[in-house]
Amino acid sequence: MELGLIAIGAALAVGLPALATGWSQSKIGAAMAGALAEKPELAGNAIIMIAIPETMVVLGFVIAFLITGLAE
Amino acid sequence: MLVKMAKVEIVGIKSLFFEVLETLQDTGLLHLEDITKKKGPRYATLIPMEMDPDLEEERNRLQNLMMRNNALLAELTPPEGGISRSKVKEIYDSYSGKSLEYITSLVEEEEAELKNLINRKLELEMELSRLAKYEPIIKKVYPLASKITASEHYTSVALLVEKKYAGVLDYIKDEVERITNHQCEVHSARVDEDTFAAIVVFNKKYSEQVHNFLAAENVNQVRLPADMADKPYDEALQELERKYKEIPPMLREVQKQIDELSDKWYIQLVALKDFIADRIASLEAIPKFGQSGHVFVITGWMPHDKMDELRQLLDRKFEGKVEVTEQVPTHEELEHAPVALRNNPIVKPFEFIYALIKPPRYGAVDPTFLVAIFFPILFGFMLGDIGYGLVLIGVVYLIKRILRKRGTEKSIIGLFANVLLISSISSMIFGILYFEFFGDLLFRWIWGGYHLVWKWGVTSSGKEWGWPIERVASENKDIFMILLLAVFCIGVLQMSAGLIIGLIDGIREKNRRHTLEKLGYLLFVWGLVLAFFFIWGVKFQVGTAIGAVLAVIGIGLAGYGGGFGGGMEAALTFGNILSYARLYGIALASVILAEVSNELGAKFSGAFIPIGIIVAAALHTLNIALGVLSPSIQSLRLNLVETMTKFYQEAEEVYEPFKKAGGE
Repeated sequence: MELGLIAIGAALAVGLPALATGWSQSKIGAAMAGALAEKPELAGNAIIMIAIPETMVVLGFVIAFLITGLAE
Repeated sequence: MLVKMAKVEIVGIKSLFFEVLETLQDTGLLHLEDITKKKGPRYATLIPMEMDPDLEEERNRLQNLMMRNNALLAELTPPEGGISRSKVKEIYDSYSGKSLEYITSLVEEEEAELKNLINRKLELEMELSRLAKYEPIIKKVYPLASKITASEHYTSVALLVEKKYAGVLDYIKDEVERITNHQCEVHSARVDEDTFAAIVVFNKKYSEQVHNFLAAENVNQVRLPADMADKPYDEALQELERKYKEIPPMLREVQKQIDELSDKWYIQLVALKDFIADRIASLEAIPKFGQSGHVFVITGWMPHDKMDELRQLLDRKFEGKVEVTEQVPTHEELEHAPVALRNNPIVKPFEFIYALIKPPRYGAVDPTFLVAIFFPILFGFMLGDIGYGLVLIGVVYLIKRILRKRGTEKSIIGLFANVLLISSISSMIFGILYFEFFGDLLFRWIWGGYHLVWKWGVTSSGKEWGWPIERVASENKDIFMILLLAVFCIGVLQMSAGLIIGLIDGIREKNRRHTLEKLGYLLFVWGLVLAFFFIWGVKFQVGTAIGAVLAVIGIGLAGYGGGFGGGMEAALTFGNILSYARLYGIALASVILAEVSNELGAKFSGAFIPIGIIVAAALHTLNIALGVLSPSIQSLRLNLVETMTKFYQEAEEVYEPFKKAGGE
């Protein structure tokens, strides 16, 4: 039972931020695609902007890894 | 580091103006200032220079020549071996001192040879694209056209009908027979899966009624090009097909002739483009200068250490009739001074960040060296793998070879290739620390699993740790905390370095609030470090209290220096440090994917081993591609967003000397 809860906790820790990252990257990606059509010189900034929400899922992954450590 | 700039004023007698201007463009040292925008008594008496009508005329003619030259260039094919810059320069230099008439005659000569060919090519391309629209129709209707009995009293129309409406063909046949009193013939056949084609031949005197009927029924009529509309269908289609086959060989022949001319003219056209662009730039610079009764005045900025070089050159060339003086810039002028960077070869590649942001403001500390230190560390921490490092070095070698061939080694991609090379070396160093070669291949081959070789100590749970450091922490969970602590330490060090630069900038500029704000951030960060060290490391309550007090004082100072935003920013700094945990997250994702690749590859045995190798190689390739992209972006982000926002101020103007740049 406890092992199952740990697994669910870890899955939620990485899954929810992954959804949030995907959602926000889709919004930023669309906006940056529009901006690049007008100003191609913003390409570098676009990459950084799109990478910003990635933090959520990366940190979620770290937390999930931390949680799975509780299983032992 | 930022180059020390000198504010320069050049004064000379008017008769020498154009020679001086050309000399300045040749030396390419002076960043010109627009004298009409300068304020103060020194400039109040100067009259802005103007282009006289002759020069205006020259500029307009040059712009026209530029347009024509570029149009020719766009049609030619660059030489296969690339453009030899030395050859371009040689031709460019041969134009020096030549009259506008001579340049015009060159462009006209090239035009005369090329224009006819280019026009012919365009005509053929347009004809081909026009005929291409009829190609599917030709294919569909042509077999039917041969059944038509040609007669001068009869005309024909072709129809295309979708399969699902095939029944309508009988209706059309009945109606056309009724309209023409049976003076018609209808041939139809299925031409592909979805289409039926029909040719209706009828007496010309019923032409209007038949066309009106077909239009009213909204039937898809095949219309031929206007120049063939009067011809019988079979003849028109035959002609269409003949033309459609004839054009491509003609086009190839014309292209061959253009390519032959490209070999002859291309480099000359490039040199001409550069020459005309430089001449236009020189003329357009004139309104930036000032004049009084007999002298001209040019102002600008240049590297301080090049002052003597320019002064001696002008003295030698104009025998003291042109004076170069260094002016003392006002505080306001210094704020707007153009910025030039000069870094050593190791740090220089990291100037690629200025493709994303503007360089630092003049007078500030150039943080490129900070990026040069931390970018490879962050990258190596995330992608620490000897094998991946070697692959990346190979990729860099290929990129550099391609760039060298194209002569674009100094482009932004060239700079990034150098960054990647340094980062690959860092990746290999961290790879040795983790003892990883394409994931856990070395562990599998040498020890059949993880094996601690060099013991460094004992963790809180009593387990030994040391080299190699097992990143996935499956043998010792405490490694996870050790590595997490390591990334926070990197974060604290990087952020502190940035804040110290901000502090130095504040002290240099005697900006008390700015200095206190940065000092506040620093105190907050190090107060927290002390507090946590005495909580989790050496247990010492007084130390913890001192750390907490320092952190609170830090927030207070940041609030005093930067207002409410400053106080908030100080508190957020803690979050910025925590976000360095991403380094470990990406490192884990990379190493786990590498291990999965090996595990999957190892599942294949016997005759299937080659498939296993292919599977593992494909996954490793994917991991390397992700491994380059993610660590690069995250390292950049940690440098630009987490660290540089704490102190960085962008320059208003970048040093762009007036030089012969060929319009680039």
